[in-house]
Amino acid sequence: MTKFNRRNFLKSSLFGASGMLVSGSVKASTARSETAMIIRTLGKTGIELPILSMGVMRADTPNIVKAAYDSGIKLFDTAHGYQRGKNEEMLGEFFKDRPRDSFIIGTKVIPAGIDRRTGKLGPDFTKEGFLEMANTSLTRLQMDYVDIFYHHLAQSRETLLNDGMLAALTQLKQEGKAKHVGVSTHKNQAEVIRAAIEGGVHEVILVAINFTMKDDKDLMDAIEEGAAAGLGFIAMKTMAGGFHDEEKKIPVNGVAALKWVFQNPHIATAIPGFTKFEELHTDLEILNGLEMTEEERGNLLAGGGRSGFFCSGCTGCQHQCRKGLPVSDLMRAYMYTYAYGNLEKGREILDEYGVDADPCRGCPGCTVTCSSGFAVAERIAKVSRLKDVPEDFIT
Amino acid sequence: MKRYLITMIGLAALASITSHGAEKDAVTFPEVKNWKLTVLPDVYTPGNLWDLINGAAESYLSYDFVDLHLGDYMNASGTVIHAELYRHSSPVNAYGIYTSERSPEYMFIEIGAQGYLEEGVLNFLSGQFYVKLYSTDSGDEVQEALQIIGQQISGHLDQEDGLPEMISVFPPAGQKPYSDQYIRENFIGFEFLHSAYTVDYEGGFKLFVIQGKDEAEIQEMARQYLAFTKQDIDPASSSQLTFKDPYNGDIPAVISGKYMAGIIDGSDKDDARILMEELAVSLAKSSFLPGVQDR
Repeated sequence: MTKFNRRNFLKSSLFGASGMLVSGSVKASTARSETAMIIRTLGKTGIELPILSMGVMRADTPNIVKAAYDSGIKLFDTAHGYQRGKNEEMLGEFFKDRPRDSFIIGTKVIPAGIDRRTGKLGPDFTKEGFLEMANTSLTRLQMDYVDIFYHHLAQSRETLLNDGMLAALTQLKQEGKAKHVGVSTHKNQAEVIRAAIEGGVHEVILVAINFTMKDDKDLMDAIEEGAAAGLGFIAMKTMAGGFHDEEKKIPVNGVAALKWVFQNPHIATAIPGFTKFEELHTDLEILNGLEMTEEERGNLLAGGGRSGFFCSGCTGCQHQCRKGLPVSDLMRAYMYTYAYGNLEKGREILDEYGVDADPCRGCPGCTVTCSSGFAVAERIAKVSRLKDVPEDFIT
Repeated sequence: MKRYLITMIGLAALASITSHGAEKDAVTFPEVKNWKLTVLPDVYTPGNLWDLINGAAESYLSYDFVDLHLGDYMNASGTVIHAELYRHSSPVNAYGIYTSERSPEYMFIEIGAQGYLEEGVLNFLSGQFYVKLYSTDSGDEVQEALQIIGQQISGHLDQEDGLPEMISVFPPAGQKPYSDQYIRENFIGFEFLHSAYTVDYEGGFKLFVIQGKDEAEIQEMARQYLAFTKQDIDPASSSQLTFKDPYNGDIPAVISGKYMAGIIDGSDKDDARILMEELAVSLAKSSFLPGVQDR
């Protein structure tokens, strides 16, 4: 899938620090800058994309879009709802005089009538309403078509395979208003991906994936299955919130986080949201190669050498606990509860392993040494208190 | 019982982790005659706003979003008005996210600090709240209901309404209506410029004001900008500068104490420079302006 297998530096990028890859199997990007980029193919769409794309949602100046475009980035991701449409309008203004084949636009629509809390389509959802919103997006973008049109915020098989929704997406393609159709998801992702395979309509999945999910085997399997079925995958939420710690003082190494994502060969590109030129500059460093340095690996594993939220799953703690507690899983419960505020998931893990509200009682002292430096006993004590909370306070 | 209380205290502490330490008074919805109110149990915080609004959450978080409360109003004929109360850490941050989504073309009405009514939608700003009402039903009755419920919510929130004082300092001549904004982070793509107030003017240019903690911060900011643009100039040597920005074009600016005023997309326009100088004079007289407590 990756087009480059050899690289050397030929010409500095806009910022003077990017690598370029050339060889028989190397395909130089025809980008505005003369910097080549690692290119991957987006599943059966056949679209070839630099691995670095741009999520435009927070860009409040077109000049940062211009800098990204000039540096060779090709895919720009927006949505009908971002800034109540101003984001699409800004992109429309920026691209209106540029060659249509020099960029790829992805936009997405959350269907009216969806219960955003459950992700289910209610009685107010209509195919016609959805198509009207899609047409509004095209008007704002000043384009006849978008390259990828997404059903935004699908959280279940039922929603994804809704007849009206599939009919709307199919019609957009038939009318030439969408070159390709897809779905964006960040909840129940494995279920949504498998539903897309089953439905056979969607071609692209915008998936939330980052280094904190490396133990999510179900998701990784679903991506594998989707890729085998020809689905193209685009990564979002690659920075995992941007910080390792609760106090937001230890930032995630952005380049390392991107590199981690691209270890999965099925991820064609990622859409980090740049809001400053420095971020763009930093993320472009990924063009220098996907191999992680020790320092980058360390940052992802241990929050820059200090305790973060995310259990690396090294299993080194197995059998260390005198009481035989599932330490690694309890660290995961802690992460869901404290990093994501997802008390329900934290409680679910406690229930799954039959952990009560005071699992360390009677223990004379913790014998667990965590390779990531987590204060294991303290975290277990904090998260297990969830068992004392009535369920209806959590769900 | 004691254990339960301790747990709830712990969870309250957890909630504070995701609220950036803002004060979190209880948020309630008003009862409205002839409308049955259902307050939804879900309260969204920075940790899970993504679950509700997906990628749009990033913008809200960048304006120091605290929490979101949801309520539904239903009348006897089954019409539902959904109400969303987005609470931010301060009025200026609520103003920032509100203006990032506001378009000058909307139909503005008298509500809260400012608000607009669109088909099936009423959005308004009220103190530290950005309030959004919407319905998937349509018609005059719905439009009227949005305003009735909106006014009741506005009164119930009991906020001190008004736009940031800084906006009043911008010269009124040539201002495009409803173009004022507050950018909280990475103004024009640079972290060191942090936040700015901006207003669009006829002629296609924009004026901005950056408010520093003090004069030294503004001087340091100018120094960093000049270092980035590779200009060998001491910012202390002159109050008037032009930053030769490779991304944003030439940015003329005036430093006035703890403020920097400047022009975007108008370096060659005489009227823009006149207005910028007028703005700088106003800033010099504006020692009453509050500090940037909200960044």
